[in-house]
Amino acid sequence: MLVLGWIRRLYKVLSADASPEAVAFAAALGLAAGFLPFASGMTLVVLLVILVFRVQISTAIGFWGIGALIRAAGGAALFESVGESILETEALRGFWTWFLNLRVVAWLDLEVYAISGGAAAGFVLGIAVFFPVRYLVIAYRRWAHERLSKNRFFRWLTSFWVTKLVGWVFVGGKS
Amino acid sequence: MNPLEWIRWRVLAAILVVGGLVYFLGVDSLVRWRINDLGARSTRARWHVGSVDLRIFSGHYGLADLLVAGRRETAAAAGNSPDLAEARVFSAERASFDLGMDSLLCRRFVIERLEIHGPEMRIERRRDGSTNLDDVGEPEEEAPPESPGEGPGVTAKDVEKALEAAQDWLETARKWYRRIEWLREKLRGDEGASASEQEARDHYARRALYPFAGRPRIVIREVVASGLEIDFSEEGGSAALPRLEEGRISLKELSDRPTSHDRPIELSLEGLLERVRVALNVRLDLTGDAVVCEIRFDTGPLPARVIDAFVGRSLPVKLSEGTIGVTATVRLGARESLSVAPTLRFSGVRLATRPGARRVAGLDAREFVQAFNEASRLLDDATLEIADLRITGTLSRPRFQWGDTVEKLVRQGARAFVQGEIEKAEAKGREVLEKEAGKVLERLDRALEQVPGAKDIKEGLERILPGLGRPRKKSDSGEGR
Repeated sequence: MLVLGWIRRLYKVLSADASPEAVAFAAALGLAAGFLPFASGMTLVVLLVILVFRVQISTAIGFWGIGALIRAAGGAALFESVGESILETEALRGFWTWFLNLRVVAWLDLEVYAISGGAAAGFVLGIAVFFPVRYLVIAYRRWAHERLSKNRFFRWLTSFWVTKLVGWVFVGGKS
Repeated sequence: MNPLEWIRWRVLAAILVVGGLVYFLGVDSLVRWRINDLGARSTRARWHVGSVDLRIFSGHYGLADLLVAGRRETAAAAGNSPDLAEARVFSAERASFDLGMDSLLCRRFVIERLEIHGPEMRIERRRDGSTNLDDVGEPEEEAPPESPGEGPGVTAKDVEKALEAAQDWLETARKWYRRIEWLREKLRGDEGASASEQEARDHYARRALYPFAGRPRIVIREVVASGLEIDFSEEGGSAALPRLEEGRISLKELSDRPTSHDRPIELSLEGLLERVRVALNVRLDLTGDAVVCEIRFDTGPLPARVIDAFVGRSLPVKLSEGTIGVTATVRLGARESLSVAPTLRFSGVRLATRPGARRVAGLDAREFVQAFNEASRLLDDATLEIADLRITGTLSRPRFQWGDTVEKLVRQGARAFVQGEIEKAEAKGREVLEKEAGKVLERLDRALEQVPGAKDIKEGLERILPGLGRPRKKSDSGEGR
């Protein structure tokens, strides 16, 4: 049932009227948030961005979960060493001393190695994820949603009750 | 796409409304609950506030009905009541302060002035020599001294010894110095620990510390409390100790990182003890390689019994009457080095010997007491000032250097004592001599009456020796004799 739920949700996201950018941003932000512990200032900022800006919330939640899984499966140790190498770089010490004491930034807990490492990894992976997701959504909508629904064979196929049942099982009642 | 359309205005409005409701309706009780919850669970002290008034936008904050008590485990171990009000060390009607929003955004809590109204302190000295003030703050990582009131083999002598230690100002100073030194080392260790030295309980425990080095998170520039009252008491003690009234306390430059704070901590306490003004100024610098502490103590003429009540057992003599004023500057430095330059003002003071005390100021204790009392009698009510006593060395091995004043005083007193003794002996001798001379002359009179013509001889003798056969008068002595 869980897998079915995920398939249904994915279908709805891909078919919804949210822009591909909104879905891609949601994926990037969700992944970044997943790399951070829940109780930190940085997570709160990412959460506010997800809520206030028109990003696709269910996609964000999904990627948040993926990020949290990565973090729990040993990612935290990796983020910690990434953060340590960023913050302890001798040449950047002056910059970090200035930056981490800035207004508001001081509340983000970025001095914690695993949080700064998680934020950096989330930022880089978020950018890396943004473009493929955006492309994927655009491509899906162009191909699967538009072309496939206009295809005669597909329309003939979906007229059978068995196909309707399969569609209902996998993508829900509105398919 | 219009950038304004990127924002979910409804969600933003909902967040603002919820935030506003929490701020106007619930933040005070939420914060009060949080403060009291922390106070109930803290291992350093227990505290409770009655109400909280937060005005975040104006930056004004207030707390009412404050209570601070010692750590729970020590309070319980000492047999105290677990009730916070009964075990309180400090209480106040109200405290208010302003918190700068700018520094708050930088995650720094900088309070320029914290005012405390209606403050009260309760200082209790226990049988084991500790006070209830020792229960406030982080417990030291060492085994606590066994309370002499608890063990099975404890005698009254042990209790007396512990009380002596508690009233010994040097012992107390040493205890506090070591405590501050320990705290300083601990804070230094916490601040200076490199990333690899930090004990990481989880991946989110390790952090970079250098960006905040020398920048304390919490700074209170000044704490002012006026109308302070301090109750002193002694566990199991029958005699009531005097109470400090109309006190004013000022604490400057408090921070969560005193070892890297730019200015030293300053404490100033003034008040009336038995209607006599006492003032204490402390300057504590933890930023250098060692603790540097300067204490200036200044009192008016305090009754001898008040001094005896606080430090009596640590003195080699007992103060029985009179007043003593003290002005002293105590300087504590590296490795417990000590330098004290007191000025003691004695007026009508009488001393008594204390059992066990052998020598005072290099003299036999009994002789010193006799000489001191004689000198004090000679001075009547005039004030005797001793300004040349110096105490140097260390807290563990202090060196007392008594100046000329004490020596002169003792010599003068001894001379007066000897003179008095000579006069007493002379008067007694004279009395005995006159008594015996009277008896001899009486016998002579009787013998002469039996001799014919003796009356004429006697009269002749009386002419030569006027006053012969009569008790000697002052007018008789002199050139005529």
